[in-house]
Amino acid sequence: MDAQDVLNVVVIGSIYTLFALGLTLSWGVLNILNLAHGATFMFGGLLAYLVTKDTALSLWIVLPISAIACGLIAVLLEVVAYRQIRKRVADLHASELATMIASIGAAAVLVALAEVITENQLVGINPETFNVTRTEIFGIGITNLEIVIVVMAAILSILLVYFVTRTRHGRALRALAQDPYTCGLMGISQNALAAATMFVSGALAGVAGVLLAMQLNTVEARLGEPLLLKAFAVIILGGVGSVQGAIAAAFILAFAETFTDVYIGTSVRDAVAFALIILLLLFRPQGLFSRVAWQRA
Amino acid sequence: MEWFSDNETLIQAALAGAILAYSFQIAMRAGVFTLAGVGFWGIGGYTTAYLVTEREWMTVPAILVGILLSGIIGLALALVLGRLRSLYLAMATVAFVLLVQIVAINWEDVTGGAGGMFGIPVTISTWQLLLVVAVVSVALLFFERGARGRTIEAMRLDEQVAMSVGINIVRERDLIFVLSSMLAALSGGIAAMMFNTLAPEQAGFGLIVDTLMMVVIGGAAAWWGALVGAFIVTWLPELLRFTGDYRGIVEGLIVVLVVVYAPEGFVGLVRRVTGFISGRRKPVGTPFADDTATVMPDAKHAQPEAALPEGAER
Amino acid sequence: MTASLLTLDDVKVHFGGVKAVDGISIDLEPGKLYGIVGPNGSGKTTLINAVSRFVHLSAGDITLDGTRVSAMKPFQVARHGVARTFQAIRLLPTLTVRENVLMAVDRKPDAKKATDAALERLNLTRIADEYPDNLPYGTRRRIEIARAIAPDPKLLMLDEPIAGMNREERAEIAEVMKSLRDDGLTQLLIEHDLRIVLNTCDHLFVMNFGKKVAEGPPHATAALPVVQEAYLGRKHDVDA
Repeated sequence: MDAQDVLNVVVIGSIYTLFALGLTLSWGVLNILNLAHGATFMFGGLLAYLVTKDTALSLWIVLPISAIACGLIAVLLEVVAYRQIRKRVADLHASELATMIASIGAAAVLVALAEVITENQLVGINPETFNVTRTEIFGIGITNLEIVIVVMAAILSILLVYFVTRTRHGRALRALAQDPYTCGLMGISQNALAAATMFVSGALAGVAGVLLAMQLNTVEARLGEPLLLKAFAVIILGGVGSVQGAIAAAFILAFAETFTDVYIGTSVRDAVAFALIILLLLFRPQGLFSRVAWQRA
Repeated sequence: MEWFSDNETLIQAALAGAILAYSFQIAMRAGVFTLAGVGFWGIGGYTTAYLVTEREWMTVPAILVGILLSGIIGLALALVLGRLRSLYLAMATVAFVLLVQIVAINWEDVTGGAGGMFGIPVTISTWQLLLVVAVVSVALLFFERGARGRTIEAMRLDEQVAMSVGINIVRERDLIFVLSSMLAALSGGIAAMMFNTLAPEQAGFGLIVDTLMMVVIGGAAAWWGALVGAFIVTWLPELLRFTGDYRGIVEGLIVVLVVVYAPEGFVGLVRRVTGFISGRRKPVGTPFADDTATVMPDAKHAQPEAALPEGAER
Repeated sequence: MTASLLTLDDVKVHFGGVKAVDGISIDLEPGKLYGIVGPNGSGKTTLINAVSRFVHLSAGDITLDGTRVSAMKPFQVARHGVARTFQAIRLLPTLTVRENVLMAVDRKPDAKKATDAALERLNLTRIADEYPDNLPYGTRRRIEIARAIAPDPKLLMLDEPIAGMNREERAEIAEVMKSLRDDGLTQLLIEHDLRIVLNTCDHLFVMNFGKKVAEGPPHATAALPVVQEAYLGRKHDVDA
């Protein structure tokens, strides 16, 4: 593996991070296995395409637009589907499964919508949104877009970690994860927190979607699918609900995949994520980084 | 009847799909949320197709080998993944399915690679398929009765209670897992010998989604739910043809609506109606909704999420 | 002294930092009704969860009728003759009363007879084909007890069986327990209602902070200062 490969790891890891952060939020905080996350992510890129189709807009305008729109999509799902399920289904396991299936349906809707909009073609975001240039740092070729990706991932990660560990609302999130029942007693509106969490989750997906769409230069309806399972690998590797864990795990996965790519072959690269999932769930289901002891009172 | 011959392909697809749906249902009914059936569908299908086309085996023995192989792999998988619960198990089994898919794409000598296998002889007729489905249906009908039926309910609804009355949960789950994998392999073997081609992309996430839909829409609480669901889901594209390009959107919406507002599926609806008429209603309590839950809130919600439940170690 | 039916030998159950059960040693003689009392959080439920093997033993041993059960799986312990009820009534809503009880003896040859006998004993025969959710709380608790005794266990553990019941229902359950004891069933009862405990139990254990702080004949033990303290708090706290 050479320096260029290492750079790839960093870039890919950053994208995985952005994608997984949103998913780890919804799963870790709300117990929602949001399989529509991939489709939301894809939609972020799609919206960027739509918005810039006829007018060139700067990336820095497109990003917030996609972020907000995707955040709203996620909130919509929460209000229309997930919350309804929570209300109607008493058993925790059953509601988790039902939510997962509902998210599959929602993903299907988004993907189908994307297929209609793109007329099943590959489309690309208007290149004028961002002028991609290549530079060399220490002999490694890197584009300014890749720098943006890495920096954005870093900033958003740091912000999220800070929020969850240091602020009052962030800690409330963790309280919610432990015991939603008590939250009601404490006067924290579970619904408002859920909506806010889903909004952030969706927004992160949107940002990741735009950036990846720009990096790959394409958007297509099924863009989110392969990433979904990798995101699960990341979350399980890092420990459900652990933001720091997800970040570390994203880079570990990126490393493992690049390693496989270089030394074994591309065709099995995707298998790495799946194998990791199975191995992790077998031997260390709580993830590499989450602290021990589920407290049983 | 002319209708049958006009719609024969759809009927075949529905019946073959029903067997796979049965394999999902039998597991979910017992609280084992495995989606690995699609992987075994692939294993059964490819095994059968390979034996018939490359080794010139007869159909029935080939399918049986596929079933046996899947049973063995299913047992191994159960031993390895059996402690996992709900979402974690679901995801691990999805990972398994995708791994199988990757093997199918890469093991070109046996599976024909990404392009798949073509020109597999069609050796199963619709009537034979109907017979198989009938036999499986009857078997499941008896399976869900009596002591076995009670064990299944206990497994799904309250494992600790089941353990406290002496039910060996781990072994029961393994058994269900193996049965599910063998049924799935049967479905795959039949599909291979009826539909002429077999490609890796068939045995992937799309099939998982379709089959889940069959169980959800049909309802998992009774054996016939999967059958009804299979027909509904198979016919849905036909029925929704008028929506044109928007068909995918409508299908997705239907799924969401069913899961949220009718989570017990068709079976649940029928039971509500018959209960209404007869005045006495058997509670449905499917994997997706337990509208008769007597669980006190703090007992369930105060538990932090864990992949492994208490007491069910190997 | 008759051979002990259940022996707990310095049993400890620690969860991370929490010492739920911290070195409990108990001997249960067959055919007696034992009570465990103690404030909330004293580890009573965890103790019987340890016997049922729903939790790991961090240390110590549990022996049932000569057989070491500390390493068994929960279903094995059940098959060795340990039955229990739970703090929250746990019945299967999709099975009838009869089926709920039948479930406990499915593997036995005389399942139907055992079920009918258990139903009869708990006065449930009339409603045997109803579904539990429509039935009153006290009745549901009786179904749970019927399920527990149907397989003719050696040991019956009851976790706060009469919580939420009125006076009459409590007395009724107390009578059931006494009659089971008279038939030779060993019982271990966790309960808060001291009156019922004093009325029914042959022997009392008192727990606090995961330890056994007292044991002995019910009335005498309940009067001990250490027991009063456990329930009411230290004297000077009450005065202040």
